[in-house]
Amino acid sequence: MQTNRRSRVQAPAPLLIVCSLIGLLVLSPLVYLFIRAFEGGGFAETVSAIFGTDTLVYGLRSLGLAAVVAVASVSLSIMLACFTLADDLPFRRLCTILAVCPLAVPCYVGAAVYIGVFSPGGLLGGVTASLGLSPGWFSGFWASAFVLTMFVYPLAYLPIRAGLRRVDRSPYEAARMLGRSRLMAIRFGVLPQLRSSIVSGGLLVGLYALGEFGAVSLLRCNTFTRVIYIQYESAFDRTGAAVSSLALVGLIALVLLLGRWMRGTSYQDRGGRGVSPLKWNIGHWRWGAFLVCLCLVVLAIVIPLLSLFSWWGRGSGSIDASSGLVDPLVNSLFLALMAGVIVVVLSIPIALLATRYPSRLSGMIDRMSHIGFGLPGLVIGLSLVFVALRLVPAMYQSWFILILGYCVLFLALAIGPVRAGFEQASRTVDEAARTLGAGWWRRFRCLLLPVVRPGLFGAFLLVFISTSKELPCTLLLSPAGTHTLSTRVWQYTDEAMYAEASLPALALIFLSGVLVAILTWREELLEKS
Amino acid sequence: MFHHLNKIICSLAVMLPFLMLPQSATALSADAQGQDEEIIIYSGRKESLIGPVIAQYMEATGNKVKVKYGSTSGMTALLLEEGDATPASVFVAQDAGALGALAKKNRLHKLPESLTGRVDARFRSPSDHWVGVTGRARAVVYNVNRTSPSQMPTSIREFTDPKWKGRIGWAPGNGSFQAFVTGMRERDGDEATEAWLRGIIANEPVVYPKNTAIVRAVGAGEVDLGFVNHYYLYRFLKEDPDFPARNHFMPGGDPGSLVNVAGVCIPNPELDDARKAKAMEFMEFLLAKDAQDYFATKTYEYPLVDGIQPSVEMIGLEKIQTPDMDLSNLDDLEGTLVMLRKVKALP
Repeated sequence: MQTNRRSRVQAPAPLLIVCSLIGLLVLSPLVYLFIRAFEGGGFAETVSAIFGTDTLVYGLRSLGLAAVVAVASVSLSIMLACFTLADDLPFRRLCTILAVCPLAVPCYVGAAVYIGVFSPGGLLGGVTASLGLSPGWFSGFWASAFVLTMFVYPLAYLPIRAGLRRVDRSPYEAARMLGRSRLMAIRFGVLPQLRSSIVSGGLLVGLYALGEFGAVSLLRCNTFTRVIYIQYESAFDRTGAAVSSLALVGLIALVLLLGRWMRGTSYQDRGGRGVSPLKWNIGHWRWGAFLVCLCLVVLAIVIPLLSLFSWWGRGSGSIDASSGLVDPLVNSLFLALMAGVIVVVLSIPIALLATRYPSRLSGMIDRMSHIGFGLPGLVIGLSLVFVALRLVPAMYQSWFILILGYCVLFLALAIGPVRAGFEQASRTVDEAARTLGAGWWRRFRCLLLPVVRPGLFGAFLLVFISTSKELPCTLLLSPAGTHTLSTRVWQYTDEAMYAEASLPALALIFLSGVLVAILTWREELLEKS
Repeated sequence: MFHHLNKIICSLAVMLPFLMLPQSATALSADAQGQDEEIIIYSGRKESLIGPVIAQYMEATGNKVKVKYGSTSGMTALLLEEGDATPASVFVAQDAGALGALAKKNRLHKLPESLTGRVDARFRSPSDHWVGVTGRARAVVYNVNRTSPSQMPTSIREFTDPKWKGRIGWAPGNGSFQAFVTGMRERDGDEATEAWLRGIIANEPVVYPKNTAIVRAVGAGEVDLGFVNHYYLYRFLKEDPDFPARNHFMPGGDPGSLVNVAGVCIPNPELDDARKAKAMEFMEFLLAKDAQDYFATKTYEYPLVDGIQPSVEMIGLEKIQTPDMDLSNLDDLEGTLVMLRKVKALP
């Protein structure tokens, strides 16, 4: 009843205009794809040329990979979030920080590392040989699912952990008091409240898996993105590529619908100031929990770092180590900070619209932004080339267009956490302040910001890390004569110059790692004080 | 204390982009106005391979150059999307197929005979739209512990023999491989090529995304041999002299001994004269002795200009005996792709 009344409240015009403009921006890839697919009139022909039973298999494989990676990541994230929020986990703060760090490793680097680790002569080559596995066993669907889960699960971990913090503890405690086991109490007392965070985290991971190309192609798992890349890269056929990209958009829409259905309407994250947050202890299993965290850290951080260091050591005699590392580092830092700030700023009006004046428009922008996240970076890059050359040719191949590209790609990452923050802000307090004569800026600064801030930081973190390792869009849109850390890494790994690739890759991981550490540590301190 | 920490971190986060803004501002203005001062090169070759030559060029002529690096196919897609609005004056491509595709879509400026004439007619566009800079031979890379040169067949056609079952690595999505298939179609005809592809597929080859992955896999013993370009192996050998793989070149004008090129072109038929002159100057530099020597000794490719010797580890270009065919026909990529899809080597 109350929500009905709210939805009838008309959003202020400036907010609507700003949101529509952002909506147009995230819509641009779709417009581009439609124009390219239908120009020249060869649409029907192209469709029949591209789509056969094989394409269907690729599509199903993509969906399967997305589902497996999403389910695995969500399960892992729920477990980790439960562990790291418990008071008695050994090295709790360290575990909290390290659990986010795997996101800093680009997937194609992770894939290359694991291929190297399992090859004869690699770190675990002896082990796999003694198990009787043939060289090259680490490839295909399950290898891709493993690598993607290892290096992408933090996309789900961050929202789920944030959601778990807002959970009301009374259902959990009631279940415990009624004699339920701890696991059952979590199942019935906590997870229903987490539903929205779980779905949005799972969606992000699943969509990422749909659009991923680098790692998946290294691991020889033929997903639907390969169909698109073959069109662009072998056939130079833009119509074909656009048609197959639109088919991918169809898959993304399917996933989004599924997410909408799973999110349902039943239980919202209630949160807010009134609830008492969850507190628990693991008890005598705490070292076991720590061991699980440790295993994960070894798989997703220690092994990649060790491999990169060993690559570095192998060629240290012949390479001009740090020369040419400063410029890419500065560029990466600049781009990631700018994209982080701008994407978060853009997500604020959308989150505001979605929470205060829910409407078709806000829902549409939210879904559109997810399409951008699920499409391969190459498609986003080309569509921005198209848009920029027609609307702002003077700005073409400047940082500005590249950052716009990041906005289209990563807006979906920011909307979730920011929106969750806004949902917590109390409307009644806001209205009370308004009747007492407080201006919008003062209300925003004193009432809204403190509640929303963790969400803003979470969003910034996700966008920062994703930007610093993004590759295909960066390659297309960056100004001539500039490098970022990720383009450096790619340049060398693509030519199998692993010794040279190791240094920028390490710099990339440490850049994101340091930021993750600072921000998470800071949030922890705030929590305490 | 915590409050101070907060403020410091927040203000740093907000200020850092602006502190870095001067640099980006110069980049912005340089892009907007500097076009008549410097030329922009799109390169499908990696900086590690061509960067030093570009640095030499800038030093020798005093001209300013900005390079945008990417994959050859990605750059080709970008050039097609940009059309006449492209800021690029020169495009350096890894293979003739991409150059041919651009030429076919009328995206290339014609080059003068004085430039293209320096290179053997086999290694340039017959319509003078692009010119080869270096040669890259097809080879079979094999693991020395699992097979030996004496067991190698004398023709690529013989790998359809069942004794090679499960031992071959290939990259049907790779441009160089597709160029080789196009060459084979040109030489043996479509029917024979399709039969050969089906024969290879019947031997259950392991599919890799690109040449480097094949060479790595052969060295690691994942497969016994692979169809690649010749020079990747030498880079692995440079990093690890004990790398257990060697190249085998098919003798006697076999389709398996095709020599493809890395070439240059002007990717804009409407390019203004000032930039065109500089583009020509750059291409001439690539075809002069210093640059050709560099490619021969540092990237292990074949220099295409007469009188320059390839690196000592490699057999001579004349000994490879490229099949007698027109490289420009390599742009019949569409036919090859249709065939690769038909035999289900590609989606």
